[in-house]
Amino acid sequence: MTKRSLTYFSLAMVISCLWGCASKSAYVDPAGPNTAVNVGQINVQDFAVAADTFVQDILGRVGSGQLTSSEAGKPAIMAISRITNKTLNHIHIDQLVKKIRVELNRSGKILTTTTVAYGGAEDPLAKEVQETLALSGQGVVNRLPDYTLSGAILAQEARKSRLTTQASYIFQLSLTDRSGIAVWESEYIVTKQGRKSAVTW
Amino acid sequence: MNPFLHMLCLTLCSFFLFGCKSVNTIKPSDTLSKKAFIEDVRVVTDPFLQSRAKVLGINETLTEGGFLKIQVELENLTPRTKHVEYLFEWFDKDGNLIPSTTRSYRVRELLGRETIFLQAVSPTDQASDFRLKMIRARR
Repeated sequence: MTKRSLTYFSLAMVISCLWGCASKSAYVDPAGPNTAVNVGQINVQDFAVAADTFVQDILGRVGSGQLTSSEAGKPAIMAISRITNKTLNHIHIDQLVKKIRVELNRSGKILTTTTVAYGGAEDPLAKEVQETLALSGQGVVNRLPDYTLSGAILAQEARKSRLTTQASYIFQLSLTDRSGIAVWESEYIVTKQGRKSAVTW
Repeated sequence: MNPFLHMLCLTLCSFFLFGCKSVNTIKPSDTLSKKAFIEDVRVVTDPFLQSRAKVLGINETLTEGGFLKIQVELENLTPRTKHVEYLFEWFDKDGNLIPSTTRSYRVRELLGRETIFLQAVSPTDQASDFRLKMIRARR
């Protein structure tokens, strides 16, 4: 290799390095395979896959006698109870619960009440309307939920090597019927491995 | 041969021999049956994965609630561990895609020669067809 060609080659390398350093932003499909993966937190795709696992498990049991509506021919009613975040991360539980609710709603088999919920009505105005109608005697019968959804999200860390850490997020959910028996329970674990510095807790 | 090159070849060979975990599956012997790979138009994959993971069979059933349940048997044809990302899409009787907020690629690990099952239940009882998309997992 001549001295000149070596110079050109070096120049080309420097230019390509500089060109590659330019920060680029782009939209990615949240359902696609190009979303970002962090070891230290639960990513959007983790919530989607966890919710999908639970929904499929619930829908697979609809009609089996295990999950039925108290009113024949009508969808079952579900209320959201306490779902605890036991990880050290700040997690919006709705990222999981809303997806489950939407999918169950779309299935037409299980609907969610927004006037009966753990810690008070999710929709206070709807609750007020319900109470006003009941007081005025035009009574819309307040249908009690057939099932309540409760659970927890846990985390566990393990070290694989000096540089690689493994983080597991454990999603646990239960559906309890009116008699207080958990008629459906499920668990889904997301496990990710990466550089130790990527773990924030 | 250069002694350095010789050592390098030996090291690489030992990596190949000891670095792969493969699964020995024990099942009832049936000399009459032979594995027949299923070419199904409902399974979409890339050429790279097609030569490394094969669909052995597809089970299609209806749950008691009327939901379509699919089980796909997948075999890793290589002696090395492979990671696959897959996604089920559901269609109604008119061929329209059924939207889902939980639609996302899932990762499965296949050890060498291992056979796994991918299962899915349709999001509504209106689903009459499906499509399975498989791609090589990003590592």
